[in-house]
Amino acid sequence: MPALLHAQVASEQDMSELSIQDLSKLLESELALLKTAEKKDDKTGIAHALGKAGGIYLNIARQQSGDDKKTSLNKSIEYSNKSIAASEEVGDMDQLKASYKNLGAAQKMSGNLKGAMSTYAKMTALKKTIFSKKPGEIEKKQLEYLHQKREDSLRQAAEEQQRKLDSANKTLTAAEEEKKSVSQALEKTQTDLTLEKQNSHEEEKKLTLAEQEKALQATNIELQQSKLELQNSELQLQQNKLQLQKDEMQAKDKVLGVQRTYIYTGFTGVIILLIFSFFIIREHRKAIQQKKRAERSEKFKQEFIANISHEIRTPMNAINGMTGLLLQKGPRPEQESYLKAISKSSDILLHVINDVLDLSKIQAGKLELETIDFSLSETIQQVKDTLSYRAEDKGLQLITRIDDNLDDVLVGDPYRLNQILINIGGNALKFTERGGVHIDLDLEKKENDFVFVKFSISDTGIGIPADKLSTLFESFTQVSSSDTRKYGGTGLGLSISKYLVELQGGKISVESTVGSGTTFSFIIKYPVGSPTRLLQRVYAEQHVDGNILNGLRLLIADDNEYNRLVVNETLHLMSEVHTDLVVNGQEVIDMLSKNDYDIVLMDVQMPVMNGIDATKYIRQQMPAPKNKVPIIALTASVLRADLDLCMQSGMTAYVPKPFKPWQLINTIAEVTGRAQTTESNRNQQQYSKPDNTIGDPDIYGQHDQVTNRAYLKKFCDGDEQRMNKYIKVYLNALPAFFKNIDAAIETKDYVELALHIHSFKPKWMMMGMKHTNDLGIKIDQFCKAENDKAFENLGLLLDEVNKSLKELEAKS
Amino acid sequence: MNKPIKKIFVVDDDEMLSMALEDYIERKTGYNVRLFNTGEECLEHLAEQPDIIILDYNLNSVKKDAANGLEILEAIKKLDKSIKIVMLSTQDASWIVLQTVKVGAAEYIVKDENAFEKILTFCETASCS
Repeated sequence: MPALLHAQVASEQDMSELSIQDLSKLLESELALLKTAEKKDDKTGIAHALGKAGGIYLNIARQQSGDDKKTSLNKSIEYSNKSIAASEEVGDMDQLKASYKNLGAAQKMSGNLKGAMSTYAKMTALKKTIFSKKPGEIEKKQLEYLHQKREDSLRQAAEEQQRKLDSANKTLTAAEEEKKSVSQALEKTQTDLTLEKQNSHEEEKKLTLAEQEKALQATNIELQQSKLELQNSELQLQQNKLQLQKDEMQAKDKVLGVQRTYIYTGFTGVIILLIFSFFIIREHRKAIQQKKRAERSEKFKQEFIANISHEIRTPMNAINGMTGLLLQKGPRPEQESYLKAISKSSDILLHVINDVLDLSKIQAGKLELETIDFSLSETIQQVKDTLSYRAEDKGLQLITRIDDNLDDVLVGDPYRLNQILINIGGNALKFTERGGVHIDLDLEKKENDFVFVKFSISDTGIGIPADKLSTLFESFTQVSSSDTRKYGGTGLGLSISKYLVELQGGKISVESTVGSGTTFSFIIKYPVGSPTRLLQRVYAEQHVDGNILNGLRLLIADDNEYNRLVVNETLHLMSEVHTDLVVNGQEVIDMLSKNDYDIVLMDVQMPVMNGIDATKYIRQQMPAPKNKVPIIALTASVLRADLDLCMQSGMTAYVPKPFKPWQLINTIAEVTGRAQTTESNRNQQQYSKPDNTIGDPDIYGQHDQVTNRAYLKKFCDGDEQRMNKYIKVYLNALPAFFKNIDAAIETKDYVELALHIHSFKPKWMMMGMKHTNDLGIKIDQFCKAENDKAFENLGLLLDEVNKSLKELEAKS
Repeated sequence: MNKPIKKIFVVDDDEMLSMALEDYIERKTGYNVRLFNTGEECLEHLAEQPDIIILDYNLNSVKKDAANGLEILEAIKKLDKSIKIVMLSTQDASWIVLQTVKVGAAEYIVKDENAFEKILTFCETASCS
């Protein structure tokens, strides 16, 4: 295999197929090349030969075993290391990489894994270095090296030529000298010849002369040859110089070429980039346009929903409100049943509208969940109350069960939970003819302050075929289209329920057997709530007392006659207020300019001037304090965007239509500063209640006195003797009260102080001591917070109690 | 129409309020009202089968070692579930309301100006056992 003896052929792959004998021959040849390169001081050649030798040893080792293998591997490592050093010196990255690779493989084979790892790491680092360097730098460096090398060899050749030239010159000089001496000899010979002629040895002398001439001719030829040689040498020198210049030119060209390549590459890159940017910009513009279109369409959709919502909710408000008012006016029994039917139907219609709105809100990702304290048992009871009439109608059982281990008050959205359970429970009842529906709540697990509640709704109904289970939660889907006619409903319930469960972090699942029933279940994680917060909220909602609005002057603006009537009647039924009614925003401004109002209730969509514009005008154009009048939006829209618009225009609050009376009363109370949030102002409001109960408002006539006998008088039906009996009990209780309070002050005992103040409150109430009672409440609160203000306020309270003593003693 | 005569227990350690309740209910309805200062006393007389018990929530403000209203409420409910119990308190802290209603109070009334009216309404509308 003579071809293989040339190292150039022996690539890695070739070598792996060779026998040890062939490899040995190859090695021999490579080592010979190494020697030649070393002689020439050809560093690149050395690096290559060393690397090749390392590779060959590695391949030999692959076919060996035992000590032989070890020896070959050591040799491979040795040569590879040497090659690495040499390659680094000349900057030959390819060889460096190859040698690292061989070294790593040899180290790995000899069991030096750590070494191999380090070698591979170096190799990787090397690759990174190569890639991190600008390509120009590497090539330039290689080029510089090659150029340097070429220059060196040319310089050597030039020096050699110079040497030859010098020696040729010397030869020439010697030949000329010889010629000179020959000429001299010739002259001498001629002189001698003349003499010999003269001396009659003429012929012999002629012969010598001829010989001498011959020698001279030869010398002349030699001289000419030397001259020729000299000329040749000069010529070669010039050629070499020319070659050097040519090489320089080529090297420069190469560098220039590389630079040009980079410029071309860069230029092409920029063009590609520009084209790319153009496309990106075009796509981006397209995307923006599409987005704008989508936004516009979404806006249209929202406006459409808002309009539909308004169009349906406005008459619904009137229907609901009027029905409610008629029901309160003592209708005849049959009228009452008709009215209740109207009320129920409008509730159902409202429910459907809300379903559609919910779905569109869910799809727009705009459904917001409440996070309030709520009672689980109460929510379930509401669900039961809502569904029980349907169950009773069909003669079905509706059983709810709550795990005893579940906390009752949780934090979350009770309305949405209610909605889910009514949707699924209602569905279950709809598709069940015999048996009943169970709603079970179990504590799945408890983690710190969180409970995982598992809700299961099971029925004994017709069941759902397995192939329909997957599409069950899709919008507008019922198991069969005939179901819609038979069972009614929009088919949105389950879809909404699924979204609502997912929105609360749960996942709804369903198991069903056709003919025997279906079970829907889901788990929702709730934080455990605060019963106090819950009851405060419920109290505020339910214990609404319209009388807190007494005396207010209201301006009501709504273009819909029925809506005006509902608002007006609701307010007059529940409180003693003064109201003026107008039909558009312009009239609001006119009325507000002429009269003073405590509050304006304003519809949003009205002809001539809408509520938003009217509000803006009031806030920006009207003089103080009229520009500060609280404005409540009465809006049929439930879309956040619309509500935001109301708030941005300067409205103070909003009440959704149709409203519940307590919503209207509470909102008005809130914005006019009459909200019943604490015990003290609740008492205040109750004191002012203008009815015939004992809490008559005129019990507070004389403000300079701390006591007022009106309450007691009413309580005792004007019986003076009885009144005195109570006053006596009060006066008798005072010494112990003072004593207890003194003791509490001395020991700074907040608990005791609160207890005694607290227990005296009914007595102050009986004695008509409203202000003292309020002070008591304040002190009570400071005591709970262990705040020193409790003792500061105590001084005032004791003053009033002392004063009451004097007042009551004087009268009794 | 003859009103059924109901027997009503009032348990409150506040002398004036007990007196006022007895006075007001008897005067307005003609029902029998019996007063107790502590819950323990009331429990001793449960055999008299009252229809309604008006029970103060803070029963240990005077007599410190007395059982509180909630304990008495639980005890009464254990002995006789049919008795309707009205919890009476100066506090309207919602958790207390919830607590008593859970144990079985039929009504929770805050001691304010309207308390007498409310108690009267409750007594009149609660059906006789």
